[in-house]
Amino acid sequence: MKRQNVRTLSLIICTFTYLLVGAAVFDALESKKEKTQKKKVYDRKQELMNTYNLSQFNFDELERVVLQLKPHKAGVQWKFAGSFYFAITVITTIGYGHAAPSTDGGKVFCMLYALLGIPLTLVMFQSLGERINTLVRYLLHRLKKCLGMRRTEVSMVNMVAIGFISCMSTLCIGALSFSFFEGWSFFHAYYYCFITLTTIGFGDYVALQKDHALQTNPKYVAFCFIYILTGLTVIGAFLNLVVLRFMTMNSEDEKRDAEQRALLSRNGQAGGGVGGAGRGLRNVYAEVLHFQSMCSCLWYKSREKLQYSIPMIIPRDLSTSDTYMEQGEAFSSDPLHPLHSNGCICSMHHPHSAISSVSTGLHSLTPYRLRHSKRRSSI
Amino acid sequence: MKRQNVRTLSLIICTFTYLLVGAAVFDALESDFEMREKEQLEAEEKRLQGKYNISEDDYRKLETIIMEAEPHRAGVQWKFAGSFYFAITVITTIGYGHAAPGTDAGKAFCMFYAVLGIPLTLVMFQSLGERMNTFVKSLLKRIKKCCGMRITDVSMENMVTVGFFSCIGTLCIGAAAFSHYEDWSFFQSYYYCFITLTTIGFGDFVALQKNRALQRRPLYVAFSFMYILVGLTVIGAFLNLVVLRFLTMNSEDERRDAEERASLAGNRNSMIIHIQEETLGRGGGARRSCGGGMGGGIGGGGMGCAFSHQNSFSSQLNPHQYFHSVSYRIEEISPSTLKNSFFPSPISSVSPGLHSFTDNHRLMKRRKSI
Repeated sequence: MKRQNVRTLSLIICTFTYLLVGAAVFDALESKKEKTQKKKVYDRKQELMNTYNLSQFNFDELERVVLQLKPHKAGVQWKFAGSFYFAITVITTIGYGHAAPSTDGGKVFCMLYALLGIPLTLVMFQSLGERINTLVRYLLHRLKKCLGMRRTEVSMVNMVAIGFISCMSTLCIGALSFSFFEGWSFFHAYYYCFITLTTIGFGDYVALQKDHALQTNPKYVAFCFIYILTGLTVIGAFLNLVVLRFMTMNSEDEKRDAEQRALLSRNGQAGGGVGGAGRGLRNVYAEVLHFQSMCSCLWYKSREKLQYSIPMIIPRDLSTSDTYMEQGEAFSSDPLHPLHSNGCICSMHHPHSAISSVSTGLHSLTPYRLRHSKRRSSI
Repeated sequence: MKRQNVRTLSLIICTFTYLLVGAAVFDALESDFEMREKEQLEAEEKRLQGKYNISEDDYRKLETIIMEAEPHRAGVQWKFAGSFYFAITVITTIGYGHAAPGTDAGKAFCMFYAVLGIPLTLVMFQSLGERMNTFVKSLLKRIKKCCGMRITDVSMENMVTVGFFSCIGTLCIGAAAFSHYEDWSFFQSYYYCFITLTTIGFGDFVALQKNRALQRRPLYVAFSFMYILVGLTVIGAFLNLVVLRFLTMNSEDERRDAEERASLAGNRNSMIIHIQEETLGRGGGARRSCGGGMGGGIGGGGMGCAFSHQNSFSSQLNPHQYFHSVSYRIEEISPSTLKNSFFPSPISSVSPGLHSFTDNHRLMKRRKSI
């Protein structure tokens, strides 16, 4: 079966299993408390109903009013500050639901607003995230130089570590601030920040809902907005670093397949005849590999001269991203493949292997072995 | 300024403007209604308080009880079906909030669950979406062939149209189904489906909350779950088609810049240099003569020439013009050329992947800027 189909099927099965496991664990963790709490609340409700001689109908009436008043109790939700807050929750897809459009016009506009706003925001965060990653990479490279380290390239592991630490600190800073301003415990504030910055946005904890903060505390309001947007950028940068490459995997495999098919068909036409076809096929492979080896050769050459490593996208596999940094040096000292004057070790007679030409960027080069257009190691 | 920086700054400004405009419009649309509703409800509250003779303190207590009872109103939320529903809202980041973990352990597990689940789900939907797009593309090609059309290639416009209509179709199917099962109006159902499938998930409308559906109607429950997951796939496929390329733009520009720098540095030692010096004195016409030398012994040198010549001009041309004039030409690539030549690596960097090179002239242009 095609690689992309295998990958997709495995992902589907993985996700379903993940859902099942999650459901079982949540059931185990929450069911009991839900039951006891439900009973408690029911008992208290009965007690109050008896005290005031309320029928179920009366109580329902009261309940309706109380629930409908809930967002109003939290403050004015739709003046400019509140609307801005709402607009943020829409286009970032956080969607607390603390305020939701009541009018039909509001609902319609909300849908149209989201239609344009969500892709815009996605692209914006990824764009800014990539810039941040590049800046961090550059700074780290300079830092390594300053510290007098021998190898000044910034590896993927470095970047992932920094990204992870920045995410944790962002969450902690938010947790501290919100636990102070909103009167939540540190854990609850951390939970709030996490749920917000992953854009899940349950709405069980929502900032700016106490003491009419939206109207009376503009500085805190500004802080909240900036925190949410900055936090999302930091998370977005981390996702850009780690996850984005996986989202384009299928498309790139598909593209490479198409090109190979095109190559094959082209050579099939040129070769002509059944006997020639086999030879033609081998020729095509040889050409492709050779071409790939040229690309990688130059690539390798250029890597040595590079000030700092090529940003992101698709190292061959994360585990080797560190190792090929060293391969550049290893090559130059290899006696079997003497360097040419320009530093390239390409030999015309041994087709080097294994650059999946499609995956742009860094490729791990393993010489001495003929690998027929080896694909990116699957996930 | 670098292209990526310009792009990023423009996007930031765009988004802020978008937020400001949105806030203003929402204010205009909802503020009045909010004020009126608040007054009405507060009056009603007073009336009921008086009617049942409830003291202020007791009323607060009543309020608290009602708030606490709210999630229980809709039924048991944390048995397996409810937990599965909740798990879906977590990893898809919909996050209705109709049920949220009450215990601290539940909250902690929820966070860990999301850390792993959200990237998994993102990649899964994009993967499946890409498969769907490929499938649709091949179907469309078949249809075009069957219909006897002359051009059987499936264009981007075709795909976007089909994608758009599938999204609308999915929303309408969901709207019809939920308006029937949940007793909402069609518009409210449509709004619910839209808010769900864009993963905003306000929670003002939530399926499976009426009549203890989670426990009593397994078929409807299964339908809801399938609908959410399939709908997200359809939306994901559309995003994969339209938006994903923009997410990688900065990275690819950055990579290409780096490779250009590398090529510049790398061309120092080769014979290309003397060609470079020659062309310095001339104008753009030099490019053509370089390209013509491709087929012969210069081979890749000619290719490198075209490239380095343009690089040498970079100080004279302004960046925008420079970028515009850098279009990598691979002309007349034959096997013999391949064996003797050096190809600058930017070929693979212009757009991800090897482009099928034929005996005809193929112009590989950079992706048009946005």
